[in-house]
Amino acid sequence: MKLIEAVIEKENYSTAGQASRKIKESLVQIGVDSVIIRKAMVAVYEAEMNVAIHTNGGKLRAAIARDVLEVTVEDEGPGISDIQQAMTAGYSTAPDSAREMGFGAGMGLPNIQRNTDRFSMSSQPGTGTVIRFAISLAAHGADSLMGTSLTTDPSKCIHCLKCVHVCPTQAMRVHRKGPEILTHLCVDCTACMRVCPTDVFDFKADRVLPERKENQIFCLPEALRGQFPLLSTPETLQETLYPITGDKILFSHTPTYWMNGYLRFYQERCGGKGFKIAPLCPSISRLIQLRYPSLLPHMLPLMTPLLSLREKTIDHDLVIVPSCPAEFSQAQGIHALNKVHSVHPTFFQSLLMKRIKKEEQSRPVQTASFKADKDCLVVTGINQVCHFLDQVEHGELQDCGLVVLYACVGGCYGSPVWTTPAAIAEKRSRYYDELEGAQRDLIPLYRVQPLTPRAGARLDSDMKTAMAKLGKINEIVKTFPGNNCGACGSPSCLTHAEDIVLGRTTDYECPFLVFTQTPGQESLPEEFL
Amino acid sequence: MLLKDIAEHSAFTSLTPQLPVDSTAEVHKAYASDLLSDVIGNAPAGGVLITVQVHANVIAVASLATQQAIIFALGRKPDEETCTKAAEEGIHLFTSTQPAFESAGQLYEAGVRGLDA
Repeated sequence: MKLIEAVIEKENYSTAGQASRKIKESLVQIGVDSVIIRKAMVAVYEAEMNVAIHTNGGKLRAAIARDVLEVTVEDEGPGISDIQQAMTAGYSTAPDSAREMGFGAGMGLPNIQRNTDRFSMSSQPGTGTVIRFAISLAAHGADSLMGTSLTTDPSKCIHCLKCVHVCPTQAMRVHRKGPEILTHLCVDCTACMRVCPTDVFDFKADRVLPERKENQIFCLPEALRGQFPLLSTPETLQETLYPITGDKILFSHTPTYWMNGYLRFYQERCGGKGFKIAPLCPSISRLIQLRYPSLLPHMLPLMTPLLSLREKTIDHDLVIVPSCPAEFSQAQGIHALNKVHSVHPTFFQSLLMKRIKKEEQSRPVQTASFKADKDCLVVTGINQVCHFLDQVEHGELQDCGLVVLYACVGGCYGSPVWTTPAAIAEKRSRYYDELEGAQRDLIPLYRVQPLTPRAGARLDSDMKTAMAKLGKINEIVKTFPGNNCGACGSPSCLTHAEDIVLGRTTDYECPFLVFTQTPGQESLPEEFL
Repeated sequence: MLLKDIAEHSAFTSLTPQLPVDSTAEVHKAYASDLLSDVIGNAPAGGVLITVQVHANVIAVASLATQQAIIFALGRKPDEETCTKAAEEGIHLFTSTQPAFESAGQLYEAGVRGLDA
């Protein structure tokens, strides 16, 4: 790993740019692709010039490892009071001296945003601003967020088709060889995982603990604390965890506390008016990107709790125990110098359970009952969420204010990886918060990378071929009964026709047709295949 | 168009005579802008930059944006030190008495483009 540091002086436009040059030299030496070097240079140079133009001076630190460049730029004020405004292309507060030199066009921050894989900014008016960004140096390193991290074990599948019916994005197929997830449609909502009677679905988090390191923090899911009867004190829990994790533990924290953070942003920045969605659940963000792109402007421009926590602990290696595949996907997609290890929650829970002694478990403790903030509407469960979003998209429910949506029933406490009912797990977990006097407001960080619509199923990249395929699909679908029974393994007659035309299945198994057809006519005419 | 053609063109005067012109170096792309954030973000790699900005940061930006040469319009010239620095970075500097629009037009006529066709 190579470290580069540079001091940037106020209004010294001739020395600003030195760090960029040094970093470029190093990247060229390592043999990084020239397109990526260019991206890095744009970001670093703009960051340097920003400090020289707008602040009382500051420092830039860059670290280059094999697969990532990570940069932190800190300045000594005066700070930015409205980050959203500062991010707007064309908005600038640069003095004339900078403008005369061709700077200060209000393109600096947007240029950084466009050219980085991770970017965060926090600012305190009066004290200063910290910008951190990272660029993946691997040729196709970026954007692992789009796929799914769900895995299947077809040998366990009993072909009950429950997953096919429950999938909100029609990403599931069960054909003869077992379940198959169309990854471009999957949003990691876990609806299939929850409904599967034989545990076909899982995700590939490690089932070993990573090697213990000095600079390591464990981030454990809130719901983990609710998976066993209450221990007498939070300290008992700490002691029980210590041999597994060491003393640096962070619980992802009660959603209500995060909600307060989002709510404050909503009240301060949106005037507490209008329909907005607080991005707590990563799966919901992806659902909206895929199925409800028209609602993207309603998403608060803030990071999810997981990404905010990662940003705040970016100087450490993070061992995260994700509570669901969506969190796992998000953790995998973080580009940073310090590693993120993901440990499977079921595995971690089994380690912990072995250490919990019966006698340490206390009597039921009275805690103040859970109170969701009255100004935040919470909708949980992917079906309820889709129902809700359908109505919103049709222009109804615009009076619902700030909304928090969860794919899992009962929020993260209800992830299918947990066995304890969500309500109980939440109550238990709150008990520790009460005893610890936990922090009430957790402040989510500003999300500078915009969410963009996800391209869904396209029949073909060529419009003409796509039209021809559409024609075939319409022909085939006319021969089906139209009752969308799902017995063929596709969620509806239309999707089955699509699967045939796109070659996703060679099975032709509409049971209604098989029963009603005359012998010798059991398959489609050849021109359809 | 060859870099040599620009160097030999009557409209352009070289400010970096100490830097030898590779007679086979080709110029396919160019970009005209005085906003340095625009240049660094959008100027095509390996191209020629046409600008009226003459301070030292232009060299830094052109270097980061891997430009082969800079043409200063309206007869502008950077100071001696800046020219030396550009030569060290391997960036050819030219000056032209014409406005940027005319210089861009001459390059365009010779087949140079701003974007991928």
